[in-house]
Amino acid sequence: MYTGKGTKSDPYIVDNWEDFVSVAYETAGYVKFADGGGKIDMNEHYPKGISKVNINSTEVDFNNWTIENLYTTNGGFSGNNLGTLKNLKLLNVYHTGGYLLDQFNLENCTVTGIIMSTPFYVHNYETKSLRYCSFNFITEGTVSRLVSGSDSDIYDAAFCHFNISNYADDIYPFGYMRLKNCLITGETSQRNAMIVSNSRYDFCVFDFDAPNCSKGNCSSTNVCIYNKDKAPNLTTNTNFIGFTTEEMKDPQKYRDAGFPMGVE
Amino acid sequence: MAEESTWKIINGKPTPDGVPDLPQNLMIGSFPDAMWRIDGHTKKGLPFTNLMIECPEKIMTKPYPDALWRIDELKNDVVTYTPLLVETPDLGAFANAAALRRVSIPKSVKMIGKKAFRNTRLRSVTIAKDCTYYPTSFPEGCTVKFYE
Repeated sequence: MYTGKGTKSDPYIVDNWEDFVSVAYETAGYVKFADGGGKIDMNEHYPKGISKVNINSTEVDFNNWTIENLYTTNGGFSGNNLGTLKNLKLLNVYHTGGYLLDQFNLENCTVTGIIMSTPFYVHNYETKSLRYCSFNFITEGTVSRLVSGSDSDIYDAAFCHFNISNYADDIYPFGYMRLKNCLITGETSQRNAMIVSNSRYDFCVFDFDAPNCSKGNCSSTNVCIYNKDKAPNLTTNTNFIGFTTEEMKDPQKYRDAGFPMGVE
Repeated sequence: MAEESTWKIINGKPTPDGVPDLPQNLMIGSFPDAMWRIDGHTKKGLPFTNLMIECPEKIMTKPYPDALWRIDELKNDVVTYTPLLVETPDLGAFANAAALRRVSIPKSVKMIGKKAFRNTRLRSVTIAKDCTYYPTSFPEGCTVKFYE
């Protein structure tokens, strides 16, 4: 049974899946996983997968707990557009439909797994803002707007690392996002893949192996760097500067290009 | 009245009196966490900032969840399945005859069905060399011998 009062200074403390789901659904307060870390294997709780877990909390601090083997059939964690998830390690996700982490702010979260396309072009992943997060995904099929805001809202991602591999169909990883100081890596061999797509980019680095990728609809106020050996057809606006693979590792080249690279 | 200052040449550069020495090190201590840097090791030599958390290299570390479809050469006759599927009872001439321990199969028999003797207690059978059979015709562990 959980303890605490659900306030910021005295959050509900949980240490298992059942209590977490119960308290996160029923209350709008603060929830925190117990100190010391832990692991929840979703294959033990829901081997058939989950369709959606509604979370109405203001904030859930996973306190560096790991949730692994989450198999989603129609959505993962769904928020109320106000909440924040932090310090979560969500590993080995098999996401097959709906939104994986919908309507949350994410802070200091790590997410890995396989994102499968659905028969429709949906946002496979929708959040409000992302800070200090890392994502390592394999996508299967056509995946549009993998990390995305909504049609009317632009969401922020800052200081995040996205590593995305796609081997089957096309990929359009970003939509309605403003990415600042993000590292984007990965690979795709698809002709119509648009790695730089439908978003705004400032001080981002693309080291994406995408020989056939084309330019998407995007803008950038501040300089971004991409690997022109790996993505020679990624011709974008003037704020995108192509480096060779060797130049990608040369700090001085970045400084010369106006990129805020530290001086050793 | 403006305060007068006296200029001197220090290290080859004109310098007014009273100006403190210029620090020699541009950066004292560590970088701001938000600043991009390259150290040759982190992020495989690509730029990073201290505010980025480590991206796990392995996407998958455990087998598939039970609900996911898979194909395994050793299971379900290599037909797509998930471990959550209820196993279909084997159908065959003598399948599921749990008490069947011995059987005599004449040389004249030239074909044995896919699951003819599944889930029996046979440990050994002898069949003709030109008899067609399947790895699943007999229970697991059953030795198949041939007439001379």
